[in-house]
Amino acid sequence: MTEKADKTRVPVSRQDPEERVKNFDEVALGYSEEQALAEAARCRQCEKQPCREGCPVGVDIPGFIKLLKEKDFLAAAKKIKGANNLPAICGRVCPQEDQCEKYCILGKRWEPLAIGRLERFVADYERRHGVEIPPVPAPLGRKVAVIGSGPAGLTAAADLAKMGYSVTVFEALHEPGGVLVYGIPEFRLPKVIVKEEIDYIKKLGVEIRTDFVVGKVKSIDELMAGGYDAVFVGTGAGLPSFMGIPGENLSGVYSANEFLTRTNLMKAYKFPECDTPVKLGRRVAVIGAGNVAMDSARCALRLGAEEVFIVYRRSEAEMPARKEEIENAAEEGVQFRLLTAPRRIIGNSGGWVEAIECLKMELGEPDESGRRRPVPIEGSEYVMEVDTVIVAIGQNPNPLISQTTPDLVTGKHGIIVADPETGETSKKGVFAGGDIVTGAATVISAMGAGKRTAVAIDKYLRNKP
Amino acid sequence: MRSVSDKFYVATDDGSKGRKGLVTDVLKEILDKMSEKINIVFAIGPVLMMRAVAELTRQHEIKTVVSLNPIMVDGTGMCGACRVEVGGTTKFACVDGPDFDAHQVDFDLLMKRQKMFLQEEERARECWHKCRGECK
Ligand SMILES: Cc1cc2nc3c(=O)[nH]c(=O)nc-3n(C[C@H](O)[C@H](O)[C@H](O)COP(=O)(O)OP(=O)(O)OC[C@H]3O[C@@H](n4cnc5c(N)ncnc54)[C@H](O)[C@@H]3O)c2cc1C
Ligand code: FES
Repeated sequence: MTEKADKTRVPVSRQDPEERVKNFDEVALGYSEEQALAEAARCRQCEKQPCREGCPVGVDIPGFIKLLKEKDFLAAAKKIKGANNLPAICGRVCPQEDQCEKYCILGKRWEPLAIGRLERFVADYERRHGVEIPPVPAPLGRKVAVIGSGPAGLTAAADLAKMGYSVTVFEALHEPGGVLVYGIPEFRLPKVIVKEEIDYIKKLGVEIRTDFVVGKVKSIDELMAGGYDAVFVGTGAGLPSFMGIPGENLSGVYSANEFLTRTNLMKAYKFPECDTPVKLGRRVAVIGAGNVAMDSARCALRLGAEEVFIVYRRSEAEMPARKEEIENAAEEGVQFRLLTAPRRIIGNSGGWVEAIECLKMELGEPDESGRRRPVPIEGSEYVMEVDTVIVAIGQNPNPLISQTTPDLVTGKHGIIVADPETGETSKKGVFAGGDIVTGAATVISAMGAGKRTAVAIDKYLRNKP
Repeated sequence: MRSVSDKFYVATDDGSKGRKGLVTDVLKEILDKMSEKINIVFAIGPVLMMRAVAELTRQHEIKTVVSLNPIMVDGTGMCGACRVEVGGTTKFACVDGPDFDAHQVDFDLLMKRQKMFLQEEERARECWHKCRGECK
């Protein structure tokens, strides 16, 4: 192998920016077999295996790459699935640069191994060649209710089913998947993949009941009285935050959740063939600079907006989104208005957004988050003409469950307090994990919590008469 | 409704049932006569009607509850499409309501927000008339 091949990763082909802003098809096209083998050849199979430490669910990374090198792709997929039920999803959306790839020894001098792309390759290979359903053990005759079908709930449900529990997942929406189906856009995570992963979990014997809002249809206590021996709460952080500035309820102001749900879950880009529309003006301001903001901005471009602005009160260095997503957005033509804070949204007589009044900021001393605090520059107000505003400044836990379960102790911003190892809450037999416990985090950390909690639920039920 | 009511009044726009006229005409008569004290009024229906009821009962200082019907997407408190202002604070009608104190509701905002997708609703209707859902 040449020196150069050692230093840099095999690039992955992507749809051309000019083309891709006109469609919702996947942007990154994934490795071919040849590319995957070339990239895998860079792996040193080092003894220390630091990459595994960086994986929140402890995937045997060197193990699967070894099998990949040997071209035993199905065995490689099986190896990953020992620790991760949803590899085709994780290979696409995990922030690997902060996880496994961050610890890869190649990264000390060169580019780290492209572990995420290899995971995706292996998972996609398995998808095309038939997914093996592991044998399900004889039923233990005990029932577990899982609330929420995001990555945390799906993982807990799958693991518990594999142990022999009868698992029912209760999902508020009409389709399972949580943020994977309503939030993350098609062009980053095709919904057919999520559907296949969910079909896999159903084949393990998990029953999924949609259109079931726990706390409204039935409370946790009612579920338990109805025969569930344990409950896992994985309801995520789905409550959108607003800025609390004047004009936020004008027509044309969306939360990112509303905008993304209309676009992704309800497929508004196919309106009127699909029932739910989304209305966008020519100039769209997205407030915030996290992944959710980037997804919103990139969807807005694809829906035909002429100009899309990311409006963010800090500077480029503080933007919380993945670097790759910021680059993708910039390439597609999203414009960045940094060190800019909205002060009020201005509407016309019909109640529609016309403009936002912004204030220029400068960076001061670091705040509690360690990032430099934005300080307003006096007299710097100016008006930006826009006709749509998408607020993407964060999500908090949905309070429905805690409001209807009085003996469940909650913490800051309404998170459910749970043991990080076991998921145990203050209420006997009720466990929780994922964004509802940590606040908005990642797919893989939610899955990790689902896994650990499944083990703890098993232990609890074995000791329970 | 009749079976659970002591007194039951019907009003229709065209007079095909009960009396011809608005709900508020009937309500006004009842409130004006008011032989007994009325403790609470519930209004459920079009925003214009609910607002008219609220205005009427405000003059008589009778507690009134309305059931709001803003545009909703998920109905689980996850999107905020259903934002309404009640007593100057923003509420999500789907989970915080839909029942609210009528005298605190910003009906003007509610009506404006309900019109957000008028054009799209029209397009969807046209599409439906053309193909009856065949295109889905
Ligand atoms: C737009 C967007 C993009 C993101 N991009 C990435 C990314 O690229 N990579 C990454 O790692 N992470 C990303 N994240 C974060 C990641 O999606 C979440 O951290 C993860 O989905 C959390 O999983 P969860 O299972 O805890 O909750 P969720 O995925 O939020 O699922 C919770 C489920 O519970 C349901 N529910 C809630 N309340 C009830 C109730 N009362 N009764 C029944 N069901 C209920 C909800 O409808 C939902 O389906 C993104 C998030 C968003 C919003
Ligand atoms: S309809 Fe989405 S929060 Fe109420």
